[in-house]
Amino acid sequence: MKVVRDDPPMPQEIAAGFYPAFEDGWRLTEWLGRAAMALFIAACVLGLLGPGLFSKRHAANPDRSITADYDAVVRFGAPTVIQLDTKVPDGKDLVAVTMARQLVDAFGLEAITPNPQSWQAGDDNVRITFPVVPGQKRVFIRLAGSPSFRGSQNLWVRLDAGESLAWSQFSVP
Amino acid sequence: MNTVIKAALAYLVVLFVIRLIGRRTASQQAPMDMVVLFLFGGLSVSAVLGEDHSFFGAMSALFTVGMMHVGVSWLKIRSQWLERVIDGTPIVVFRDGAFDERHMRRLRMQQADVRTAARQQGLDDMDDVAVAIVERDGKISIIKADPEA
Repeated sequence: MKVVRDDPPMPQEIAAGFYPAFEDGWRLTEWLGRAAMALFIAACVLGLLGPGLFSKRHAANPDRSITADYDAVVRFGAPTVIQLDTKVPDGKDLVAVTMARQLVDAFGLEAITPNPQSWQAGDDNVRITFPVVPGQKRVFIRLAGSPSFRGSQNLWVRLDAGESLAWSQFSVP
Repeated sequence: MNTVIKAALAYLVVLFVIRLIGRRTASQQAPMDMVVLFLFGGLSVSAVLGEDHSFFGAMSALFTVGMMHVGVSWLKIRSQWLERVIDGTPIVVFRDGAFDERHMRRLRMQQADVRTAARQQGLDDMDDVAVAIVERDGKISIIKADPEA
């Protein structure tokens, strides 16, 4: 197979301005490509392809005993945070939160603030207990992780009294 | 496996982004063009390797990029269309004493760029330039006017 092509003589190419038809077509491709890049940037800024202006979501169960703030779209392997706000059981100085296995595994849980007092392993969940400042009605818990799932993932947390909250997050590459 | 796929994808994405943003950058003419190329390199490395700091991880990405380069070159010599897509074609920006404003604007070039190329050829008058051509690599070729003509 002949792979070295015979181009026209050079003076002929220069006189014709080389290949203007191809360059005109490429110009259109350039504009389309740049438009695609601009759209991609806009989607990133808006939060359609990861944390951005409008990616934050707030979820609460009916009696608002648990609420969660999270990014609806996260990026695979990139740090992200879920903020939980839970009710303290009346007269107790401990809050126990049971988390779905996916929240530890697929979410890639790396840090919990404040430090839990104890961990208990379940078959598809982990129960974590936090000491509470006496007299507090609600506590704030921060979960930091790096998602290791792709696509949609359902997550949930539950308090001992049975109140639970479920939400889903979507991970992009 | 993941690193190999990401390295191959990154090669193609960077190749086409460099083509899409225009050949000024490819020619590395000015500091602002070099900034883009340096940042492309750094961002691509973090996208391909991420937290993988292993020697084998880096080598798998390096070999993948090398083989992608060989593969694309192989395809390029077999398809004129692909060759033009990847490398572009030369563009005439100055002829018979006049700049081609349309092409200059497309290439985001100034007259100063062409004049610089002329001076580098030892010319101090644009009347001595027959044709100025922006080559596929972004460099400017100057063809001297025939003094006899």
